[in-house]
Amino acid sequence: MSATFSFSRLGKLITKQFFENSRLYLFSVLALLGLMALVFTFWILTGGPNYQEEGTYFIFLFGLFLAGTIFASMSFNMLGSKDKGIYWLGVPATHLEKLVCTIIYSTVLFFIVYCLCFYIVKLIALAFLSGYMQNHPGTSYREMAGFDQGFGSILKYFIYGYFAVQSLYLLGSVYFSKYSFIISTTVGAFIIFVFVYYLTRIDDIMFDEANWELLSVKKADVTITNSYFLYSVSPAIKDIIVYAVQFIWAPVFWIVTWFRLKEKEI
Amino acid sequence: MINIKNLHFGYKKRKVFSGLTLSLQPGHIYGLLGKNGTGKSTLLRCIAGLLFPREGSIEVMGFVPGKRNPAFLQSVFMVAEEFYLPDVSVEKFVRFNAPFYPNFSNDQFAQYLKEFDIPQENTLQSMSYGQKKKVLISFGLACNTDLLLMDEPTNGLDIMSKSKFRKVIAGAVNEHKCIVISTHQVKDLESLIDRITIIDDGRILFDQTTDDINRQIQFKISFDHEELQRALYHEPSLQGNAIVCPNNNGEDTKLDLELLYKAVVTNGKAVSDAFNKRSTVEMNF
Repeated sequence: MSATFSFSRLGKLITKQFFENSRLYLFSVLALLGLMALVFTFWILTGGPNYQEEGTYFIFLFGLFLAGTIFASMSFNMLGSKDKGIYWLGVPATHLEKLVCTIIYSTVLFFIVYCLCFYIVKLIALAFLSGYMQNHPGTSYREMAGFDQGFGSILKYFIYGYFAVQSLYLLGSVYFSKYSFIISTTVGAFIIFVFVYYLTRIDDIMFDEANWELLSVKKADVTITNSYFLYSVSPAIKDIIVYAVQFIWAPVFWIVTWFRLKEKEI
Repeated sequence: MINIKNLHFGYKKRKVFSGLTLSLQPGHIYGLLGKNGTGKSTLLRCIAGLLFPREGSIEVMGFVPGKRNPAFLQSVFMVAEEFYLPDVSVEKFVRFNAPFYPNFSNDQFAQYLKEFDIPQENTLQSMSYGQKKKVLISFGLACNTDLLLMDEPTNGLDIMSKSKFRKVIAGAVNEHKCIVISTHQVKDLESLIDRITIIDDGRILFDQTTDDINRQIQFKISFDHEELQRALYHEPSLQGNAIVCPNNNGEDTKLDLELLYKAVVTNGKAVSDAFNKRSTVEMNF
């Protein structure tokens, strides 16, 4: 028997988790559909007369981050009480298997179910809008140009962000057994504030007469009009840093969560 | 099976164990007795790998419990005093939890449920505390783990269920299995436990088998003033004075765990001396 990871045990955990929480999941999906229907109704009532598909993706992202972080904050709520914690930690599976099972539910399956709910409600809303527009001349609906331009092109970065934020709240749910969502949000906001504050301070102190763009610095050349000096890290290093910033957060937070689970005492 | 060496453990503001050493063997039902807050539940949770020693070591069946290795977890089952069961039917609970325990027996589980008279069609959350506890005890027994830890298992059980509990536990123990029961309800388990360990202030105050206790200590009712003076412990009862005294004449009396516990807690040194003296005499002989 593997002491680190077994797909057989993971399968058992996934099945157990589903059947023990099936009622909660069912009601959560119904609540999600209901809330989305409400928000889309509000969008139809207020988004006209020139409706834009981008508006629906704003709804998508707002709901994804809000519902996703709330759901992720509840991931390890079993560890918040002694009785549930004993039950959860006592299940004969490794911490890694338990973590992977939790990530599958809180991040992957949640994302799939959320997208499905969104597209179902959006489909119904657009069908209704189509009928509404026929009876109301002067109203219009403009589709998004595509996922490779305009707002569509930056959508993927929000999705990367979703996985990073989701994993942060997952970590928060292990650290903070009570009010995990609120405390994680406060801690996250504080970290962002400190980060932005220090960037501003560095910009003020070091690049007073230059334009700092994190990985490059532009400084005007006073001897020649409309020219500047550009100091930048090499493109290869820049690519690595950009790649890391996009994708590194979730694995880092998952690893910390795994260590935290290993040292969890009940 | 369980070797605890120099265990130090404490919560933020309170030290629980400072240098506890204990060894438990398979084939026994251990009764862990002690006052509130002496660390009985903490000790069980340390053995189950839910708490980690601050110093010292715990080894259970060759595993370090704190690592929570799956092979270890499937050899141990803990019936906690505060326990949780999901809101599913008994059938579903077994279907999705039993596969984690390779020695789980459906037949045994059904037999225990029948013994405890548990209705299987109800969901666990709709059951009473006592019924839920009986399901958990039945499940724990049917898992056939080598180590079964039970924290106050008879709390919340009715009189009939306590009697059935004793019966099923007595039938479940074998030479490979070790059962550790932490309890205040000593009367409930008097006939069941075959080794008694009393913890006080984070240390082992008393640790003897019931056979040794019966050989070396007597429990009786006495009216004799001199006997009362010599007793390790005495208290008035309806019939006369209940006393605990050294068993100098090899008389066989019924073990009274409550009296023994009181004797050990109030007059531990004398009880201990009674055992040591007797052992010395036996060795000289």
